[in-house]
Amino acid sequence: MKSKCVFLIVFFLTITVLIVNSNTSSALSIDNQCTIVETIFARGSGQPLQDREATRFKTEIGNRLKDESVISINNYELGTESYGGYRYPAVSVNNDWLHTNAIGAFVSGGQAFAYGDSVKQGVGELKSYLSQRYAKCKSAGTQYILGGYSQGAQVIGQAMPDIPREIRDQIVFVGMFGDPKLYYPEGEGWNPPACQGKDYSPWRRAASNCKLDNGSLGAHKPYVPDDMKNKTGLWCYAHDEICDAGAFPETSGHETYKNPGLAIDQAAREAVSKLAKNLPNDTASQIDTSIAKGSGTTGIDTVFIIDTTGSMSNIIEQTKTFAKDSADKIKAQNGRVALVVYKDAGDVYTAQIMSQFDDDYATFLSQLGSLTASGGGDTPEAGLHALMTAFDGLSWKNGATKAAVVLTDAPFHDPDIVDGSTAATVAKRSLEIDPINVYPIVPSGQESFWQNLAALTSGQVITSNGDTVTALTTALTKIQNRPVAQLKNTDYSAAPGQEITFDASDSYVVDANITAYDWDFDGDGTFDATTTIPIINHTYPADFTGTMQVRVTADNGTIASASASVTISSTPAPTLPSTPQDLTATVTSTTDTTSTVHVSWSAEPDTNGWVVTLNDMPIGTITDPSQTSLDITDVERTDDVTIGLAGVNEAGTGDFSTATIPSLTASSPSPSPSPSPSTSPSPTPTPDTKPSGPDYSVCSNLFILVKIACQAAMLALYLIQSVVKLVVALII
Amino acid sequence: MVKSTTVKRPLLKRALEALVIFIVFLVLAVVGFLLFQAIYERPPEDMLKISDQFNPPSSWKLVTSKIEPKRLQCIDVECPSVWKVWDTGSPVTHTELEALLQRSGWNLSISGDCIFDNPNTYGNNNEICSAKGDIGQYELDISVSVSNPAGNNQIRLNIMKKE
Repeated sequence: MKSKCVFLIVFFLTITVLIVNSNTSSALSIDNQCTIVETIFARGSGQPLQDREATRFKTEIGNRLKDESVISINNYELGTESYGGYRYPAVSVNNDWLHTNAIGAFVSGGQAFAYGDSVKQGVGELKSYLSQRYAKCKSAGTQYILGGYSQGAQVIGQAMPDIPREIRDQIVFVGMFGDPKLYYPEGEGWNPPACQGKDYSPWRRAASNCKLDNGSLGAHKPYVPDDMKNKTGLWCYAHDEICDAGAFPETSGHETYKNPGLAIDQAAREAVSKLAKNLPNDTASQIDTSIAKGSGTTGIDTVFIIDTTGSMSNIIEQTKTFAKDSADKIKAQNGRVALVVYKDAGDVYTAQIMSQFDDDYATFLSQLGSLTASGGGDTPEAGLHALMTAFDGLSWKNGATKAAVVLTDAPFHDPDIVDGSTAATVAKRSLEIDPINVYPIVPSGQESFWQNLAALTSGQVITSNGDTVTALTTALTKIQNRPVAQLKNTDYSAAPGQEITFDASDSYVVDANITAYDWDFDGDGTFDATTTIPIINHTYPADFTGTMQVRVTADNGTIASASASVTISSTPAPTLPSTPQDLTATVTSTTDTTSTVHVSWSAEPDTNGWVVTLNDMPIGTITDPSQTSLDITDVERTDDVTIGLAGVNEAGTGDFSTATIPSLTASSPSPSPSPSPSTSPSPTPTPDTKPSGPDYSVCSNLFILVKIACQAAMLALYLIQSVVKLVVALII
Repeated sequence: MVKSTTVKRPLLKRALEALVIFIVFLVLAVVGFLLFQAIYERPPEDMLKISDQFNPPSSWKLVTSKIEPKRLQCIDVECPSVWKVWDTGSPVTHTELEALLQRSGWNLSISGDCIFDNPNTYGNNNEICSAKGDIGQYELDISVSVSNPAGNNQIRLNIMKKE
């Protein structure tokens, strides 16, 4: 007996020593020193720890802390360790040939199956880690910056309401990138307010289009708690089907948040700017809150359009010298270059692309090196045709600022004799593309001829006076130092007579000030209004489809412009259906913990059908607008159950009415609530016109049945997949 | 005179035939798609060959190895790509990284001096130097990192298709 006790004591001591040793050999992040600021990032589906988005996030924030002896920082990435029994695995949605995790995420709104479980792990880890760090570092006043990409954004958003308010108060900023549970209420409906530049959510930073409202997995409603609205930024770029449920199936935009100057960099700047406001002046002064050149753009696309007629020999040689010396300078600003040459009608060629836009300048430099001047002999030349060739033939990068530098010593045909284009059509095409600002480099005496075209495209004429290298340097400096003009929307729509607010307040210029905003509402090149503030209201009196532009002028002598499509249509806009009235839910029978619930409501004339939800999870649609009742079976009542009903028509889904059935374990003894106008937690289902609440919970028998059915379907698909794999293995 | 007549098949029978044809087409389409994916979704040989060129010392412990095949659509992760992480024990020095690159046959320039000099930055994976460059149609990114307080010292190899 004694020997047994000794053995047990020795055994437990050994285990204890081993545990202590294992803890000391691998210190937990939670024990790191308390710092002034701490970043927490949640990665996207299937990403390894420290992937590009996570690394960019912490690096960009860290780089803005100028003196690290003054500002300390701790970085943590969810999934690194386990807290509270949770560890975020960020499961892949490319997990197999059938993308079963993606299917599971899609059918459950990101709340169930492997994906939903992964999100729950992330939420649990974040809440537990934050609570522990807050408890440890409360006295140090640590402030937190949170970021999440894709599935990670869902994790952060889903955790936010459950993070205690005192901890949320220590969060300075939350950056959400490509969130599959995005919510922009201003994008809802047939003619949403966002399309008139109105009612933007405080968290809106980038939206693929003005009608964007939900992500691919639905939406967090409300998106963030009220106290976090002004501390959250959400970016959803075009071509990102993850955060834009209506996007064409492609994800190219989803991969760009980490790119230089884009969402993550912008979030880092915004986060440290907010952090600086909370710190004493001497500490705040050690934070770099400046805006970087090119921020908010994907770079600079510059095409050099060179007239190669006989008289241009000297200019071409000087351009070769300039290009060789400037390549690195252009590259440093995330720039790309392309080359187009032109002559005139009847020559060996009229206009042709010599090199496409490329980050690698080898082709550009070699094509430029091979250029020789020949032909011509008369003026004007095919300058407009060359511009149209460049506009339509080059692959301009989405989101890049764009410029066309024209090197010539001659005027252009207007209209062009090759393709009939005019200065006006060239300007119009330039606007449609983004716009592309034209910078003609011409000898003195030619300026006035090119001035109109430059002005129409918000470019500038540069006089060469024989020194092409200096003129090209001036042009490049102007292009690099010009403001970045940005409109809140890339598209606007309204009815005639309806006011639109155009907002260019995201425009900026580095090391200078913006002095004027010129507004061209119909894209005809004539500026209709000038303001010193970046916002203007405008009402279109009649139908219109086209492009508007804003030209931004800076006090460093540069200008730039941004454009957006405008659709004004007098087609009467359907309105959202009315909120269902008189919604009642009555328990008709109960077995164990499940009940059958009879739901009834009044018909509405503006409704084409109904959508029904159970605990905010859609459980069915009714296509017959005259139907005003239904029975829901197998309703699990271990918790309160909320039944929601909304009308549906061509304008979208209206506001939900809800009725709550109390749980069988609630204080009320009555399992069958009787109708009464009192509010929850009364046993009576209460009509409520509020929009549906957060869809965080998954708790209905019906949903569990759906889940089982889906799992069975997935199993079947797995079996098919396995058979196919076997066949392939045998073939190969 | 011959009177022509048309014999109409029962509607139900025609519907059943259409349904069978539809199901057969559907099954064929699904099987065809899966076969295509099975053949298409593989890690490219040339990428794996580049990955194999990286020859770390045997004392390093491989802690993560993710090889993403080519895919019709990639969500969140680069594909095709290789992502490998080794625990290196002690921090990798500039000289060691240079030697490693040389052994791998890669002529990449190294950014950073491989010395951690941010004592006020805490957390894992603080990059102390890196080597980036292109090999054929792939981008290479090798990153050396340390933890603060001292913990994991790691090196990461990432190979992915150029954009």
